[in-house]
Parts: sequence; structure tokens; C-alpha cells
Amino acid sequence: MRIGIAEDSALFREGLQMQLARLGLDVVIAAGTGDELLAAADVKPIDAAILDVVMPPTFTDEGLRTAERLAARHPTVGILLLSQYDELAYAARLFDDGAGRRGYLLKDRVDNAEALRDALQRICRGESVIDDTLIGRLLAHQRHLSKLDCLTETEQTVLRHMAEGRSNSGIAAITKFAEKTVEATISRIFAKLDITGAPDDNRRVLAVLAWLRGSSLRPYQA
Amino acid sequence: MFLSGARAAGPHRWPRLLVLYCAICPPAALLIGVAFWPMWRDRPLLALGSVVLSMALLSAGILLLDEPGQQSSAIMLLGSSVLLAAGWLNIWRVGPLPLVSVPASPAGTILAAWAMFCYPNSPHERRAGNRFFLTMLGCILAGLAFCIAVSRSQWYSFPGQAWWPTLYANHGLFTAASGAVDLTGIGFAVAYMLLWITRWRGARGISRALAQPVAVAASITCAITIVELGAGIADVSGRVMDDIYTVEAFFQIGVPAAFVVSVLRRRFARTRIIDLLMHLRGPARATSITEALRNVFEDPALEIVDWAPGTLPRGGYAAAHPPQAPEPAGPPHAARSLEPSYAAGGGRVPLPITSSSGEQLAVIMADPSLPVSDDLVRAAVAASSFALENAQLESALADQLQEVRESRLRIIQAGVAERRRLERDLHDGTQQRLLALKIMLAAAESDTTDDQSRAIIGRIRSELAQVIDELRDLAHGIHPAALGQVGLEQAIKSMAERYPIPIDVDLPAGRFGEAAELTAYYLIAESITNAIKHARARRIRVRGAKSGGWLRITVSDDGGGGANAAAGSGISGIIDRVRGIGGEADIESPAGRGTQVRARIPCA
Repeated sequence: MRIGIAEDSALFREGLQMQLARLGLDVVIAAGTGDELLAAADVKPIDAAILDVVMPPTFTDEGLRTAERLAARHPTVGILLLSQYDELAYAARLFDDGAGRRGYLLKDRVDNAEALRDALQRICRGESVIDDTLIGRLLAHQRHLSKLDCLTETEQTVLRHMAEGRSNSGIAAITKFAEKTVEATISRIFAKLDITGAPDDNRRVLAVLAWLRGSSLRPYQA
Repeated sequence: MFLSGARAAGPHRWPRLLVLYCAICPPAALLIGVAFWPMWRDRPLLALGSVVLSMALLSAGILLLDEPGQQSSAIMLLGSSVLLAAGWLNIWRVGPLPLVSVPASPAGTILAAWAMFCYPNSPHERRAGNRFFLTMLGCILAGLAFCIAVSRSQWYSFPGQAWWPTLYANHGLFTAASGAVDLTGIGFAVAYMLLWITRWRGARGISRALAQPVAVAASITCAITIVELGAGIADVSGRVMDDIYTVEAFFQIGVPAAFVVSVLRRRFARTRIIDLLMHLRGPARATSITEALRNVFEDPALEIVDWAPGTLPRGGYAAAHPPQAPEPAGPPHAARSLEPSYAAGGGRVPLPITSSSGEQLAVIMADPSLPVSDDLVRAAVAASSFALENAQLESALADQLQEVRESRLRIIQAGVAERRRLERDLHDGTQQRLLALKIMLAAAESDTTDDQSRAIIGRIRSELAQVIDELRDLAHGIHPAALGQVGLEQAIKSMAERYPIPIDVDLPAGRFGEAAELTAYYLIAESITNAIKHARARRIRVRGAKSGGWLRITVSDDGGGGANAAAGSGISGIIDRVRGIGGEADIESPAGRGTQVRARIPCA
């Protein structure tokens, strides 16, 4: 897998490169800004790009802007956004167009080689990835509010994987259920929680997240 | 100061005046009524006219006696009242009474004329006129004395037994002398008229308005006197002469009446000055004070100029006109003497307005005809000084308040900028480095085969993860950077998701500008923390709406209440912050009935 990186902190970039190399992944671009990565990606084909959200020159949402431009130029390239802010509104903007191959990971998770490899692989398979610590926090909050009491333990597990952006087959693989069982469980969850939207649509991750957040998950527009 | 120097109009003056009236007028009326006894029978109309004239002059004199600066006019009027009454003592035809009556009547008329001309001038302005009147009085009295000395009482139609100091009786000389006296009288009367015309021409505005009734009365009296003197020269019969005297007496009643009207006008004007200046609509400005003074002095050209640039309140006259006041001659107190010789260019008299502390505030450029030492003018100057000083203080206070507000806003903005910089330094520097270290530690951990080293590295990794978390929280506390990215609604929702109790967030989705969002964010965060930590709330509602440039936020909970915004508490700091950017916030927290924090924040 050929990877491109855009990260302004040299030390973190170095650490990330090291981690990717250890995973046997080929870092073909290591850029300090989004523009640099975009220019390089036109010349060197990549399978996935890892982008820091906050980069120069604006230090606001350079990563997201780069992701949008990259997706427009190279639709098949998977995009993994790294953020220090556990803000789901960033993720909402990333997943807004319903296309797969997108991931939102907290920088804290990069030291976990397995999590990084898993995220990159899923993205390249066309799945969505949302950092499971964010999903875990949302589920814990909902559990506190007793909103998940109507779901069985199996359903809660499937809900969690669905919120992390996994596909039906991905959920089946991780839970060791038959894919048919997963599909049926998802339909039950949607009915019980009254979530609107197709259960197997790529947009369902947004619908599930919106439900978990208590109805509103607006992608922010700077 | 001016007001204490001038005798202020007060209710205590009227009872004193009334007592004076009651003490003098009835006995005087009785005395004159009895003194005119023979006349009541022969010429009742003349008697009535004369009694009424004397009483009216007496009353006007008493009234004027209480007018500040008008004592000499008052005494002249009182004197004229007595003299004009004494002029009719000849009807008793015995003893010295006919003799006394001869000079009394003309002297009384001259005194009345003098009193009219004096009014309402200052002693200074009177000086020039006084010479004329003393000359007139001297000439007429000397002429009359000469006539008496060369005549017998019978030539005046008095009985022979009346006292008469004849020195050398000569009928031809007497006729010529009394004709000359009458002619001189006519000459003086004409000169008096000319004096009035000159004065009238020089007077403008309020001085003309105040002198007007007296001027009319003076003209009429003058004309009647000329007719009377002319009749004397023409030697008309005693009967016709009596008719002329009757008409004269009634016309002369106009003199005291004119004084009463003038006094009332003055009092009205004084009240108006105080009213206008003390009840200036809205905050007093140099322009509004100028307008009020123009009204009071009936002088549309009146101006107020700034004594020192910037002294007058903002938006006032001085803003549009450069100061042009003359330099004060000598110390400030000398400038207050208000002498006409101090007149500046443009034929205007400068009246300095000083503050209660003696500081020069401004200068009224008044018409030179304005009786500057008059109590009326002093009252106006004093009132202007109060109004101007008041306006100045008000304007200075408003300026200071504005300055304080602006500086508070600047301090807050500087604080925000500094915190934003600090957060970015932590985010882009320290945190990135720590995160990189964490990755490298993970690599080291997996590469190490030694179990003990692995355990140590693992421990360091988890400690480092905690350090990063703590640092992230610290950075977020310093400045919520994501707020600027995701907006108030999403940022508050993310915050709400970190608490184990339901926090119902209903905020508008738009953007409101950094200052408003940051302030609202801190307000909501602090309210939620308080509700959970101190009030043990189990449910919190965050409501918000934008209307008319304001972001209105309400945070309510079902906790124990009893929170207060005492200085030093977290919420008081937040309320200060809201006020600092021009908003308003309050907290309502009755014990046991929950807490409600409301804020109104100016937003984009």
C-alpha cells in the first residue's frame, strides 16, 4: 500500500513514517502541507493519504480542505484524517458526501499499530472509519441516559461497529456472526431506535452518529 | 459667586413687601385724601386723579424698593409721589402751603422723569444721566425761586395772607421770568425726549424689552408736560388749566403702571432664565445653552465661546467654531468685573462664565446694551455656569465611562488573543512532540525482547497518554480552539456528551462572531460545571436564540440552587466577561428551586 502523508510537525511526521514503515507500508509522500501533498500526489500515485486536520497556513481546517480537493482529483484514494480534537463535527464534514474511503482517527491512536493498520485497510476496502474511542464515549453517554436499554447486548455491539463505520461484512468478520444475522440485527436496531435511512447505505454512519448525538450532527462550515 | 452675590428671588420677599404696603398705603391715602379736602368739592375728578397718582407712585416705589439695584429709582418715585401731592397744598391757601406747592410739583415731575430714565440701568450707566437731571432740577428750582422773589402771592392767584418771601416785586420781571422758566422746562422736556431716543436706539434685546413700558410712559408724560408748560406760557384761564392738570394726572398714572409692568417683566424673565437653563431638554450642550440665552436676552446674535479649547461639552458650539475669546486681563477674578470697557471686537461684551471652583468655563459674547451688572444677567450667567459645568461633568463622565468600557473590551480581547496563542503553542508544539514520542515508545516497546524493559516502556506509554490527555484538557481550558471550527452548537453538544447526565442543548446552528461564541461557550461551560458539581443537578437545559443582534442564552438546571454571583466565584467572572463585551447576564438561584443563568450577548 502506497501512503502519502501531510503533517506539519516534523517530529510527529517522523514518528508516523516510522510506524507505517514498521507496518510494511510504503510512504511515498511525506509533505509538510496539504498543497505539497496534492502536488506530489499528481506525480506519485498513492492508495491512501494521511492528513493532519490543523496545518499551515490557516491552522484551522487545512486537512479537511485538502481531503476535499484530493477526493475531487483522485476519487479512489482513501483518506485518513488525524485530529487532536475529538470533535465529531469534523467527521461529519468528512463523511458528508456519502462517499466511502474516509476515516477519522485521533492522533493518540497512531501509536497503536494495529488500529492504524486496521483503519488504513478498511479505508482502502471502501469502508468508513471513525475512531472507536469517540464512539465509545457517545455510547457511554447514551447508556447513562438509558437510551440503549431497549437494545440487546448483541445489538449494542453491532450498533457500536456500525457507528465506527464498518460494513456488514466487516461487522460479520469481527463478531463472527453470519452476514445475514448482522443484516437482520441492523434492521432491528434501526426499527427500535427509530433511525431513518437505509440500513446498508454508506451514509448510515452519519445517521447512527446523529442518533447517538441526540439528533443533530451538523457538518460545520468554516 | 454670582448667585449668592445677587439677591435671589425668594418667597420671603413678598410678605415683607405686603407689610410695607399695609403700613404705608392706607395712612398715606387717608392723609392725602384729607389734604385734598377742598379740592374734592371744587374739582372732584382732579382730586381723584391726583390721589390715585400719588398712591400709585407710592406703591410702585415700594415695589421697586425691593428690586435689586433699583433702590435709587424707588426713592425717586417715593419722593415724586410726596412732591406731586404737595404740589396741591396751595388749595389750603394759608401759611407756607401755597409757597411750598410752587416748586413741589415741577420737582416731583422731574424726579419721576429721572426715575424712569434710571430704570433699569446700573449705577454706572446712570452717572451720565444724573448730571442732566441735576442740572434740570437746579435750573428749574432756581428759576422758580427767582420768580417767587420778584412776585407777590396774588400774582400766583394766592390770597395775600399766605407766606411769601417777596424781595423785590416787579410784575413785568415776574411775567418774563416765569415765561423763561416755562420755556426752559419745555427745552429740558425736549432734551429728555432726545435722551430717550438715543437710549432706545442703543438698546436691543432684553434691555429694550424691559425699558419699553417705562419709555412709553416717559414719552406720554413728556408730551403732557410740554402741553402744560405751553398752556402756562399762553396764560390760559385757571379753569382750562385745571382741566389740563386733571388729564395730566390721569396720564401720569401710566408712570407707576409702567414700573409695575417692567418689574413683572423682569421677574418673569428671571424665572424664564432659570427655567430655560435648569430644564434644558436632554444633556446640556453649549449649543442648547446658547439657544436658551438667546431666547432669554432676546439677542439672536449672542454666542458662547470656549474659554480654553475643549472645555465645552462635545458636540457643542466649540466643536464647530474655534475659540475667539479675548485673553482675560489679569487674574480670573479681574475678568469678572464685567466692565463695558472690557468690550471685545465685533461690538460684543464678554461675560465670563466661571465654574464653582473659579475656573473659566466659557465666555458669553453679549450685546453691549445688555445691562451687564444687572441681577438678571448675573442670574443668567450663574445659571449658565451651573448648566455648563453640569454638562461638562456629564460629558467627562460619559467619556470616562466609554473609555473604561473600551479598555475593558481591549483587555478581554488581549486576553483572548494571548490564550489563543498559548493554546496554539501547546497544540502545535508540545502536544505534537509528545504524540510523536508516544509513537516512538510504542515502536521501542514492540521491538524490545526484554520483558522488564517492555514493562517499563509500557508504563511510560500509559503515563504519557495521561500526560497528553491532561495537556489536551489544559489547552482546551485555555482556549477552546475547536469552537472556532465547529461553531457554538456543535461545541456545546460535544461538551454535553462528556457528562453523565442529560444535557438538553437547543442552540441556533449559525455563527455569531468569535467574541460572542467564546463568551457564550464559557458561560454555558461554567453554568454546567456549577450545576453538576455544586447543585447536583440531574438535568440541564441549554437554550439559545438570536434576535436583533443579540444572542440570548439561558442555562437552567433542577439542582439545589443557592448559587450566587459573589465576587470571585466562577460565575461572577463569566458575568463580568459578558458585560465586558457589552452584554448583560444574571443568575437566579433560589435555594432548592434550581438555577437559571441568563445572558444577552451582542453578536455578529
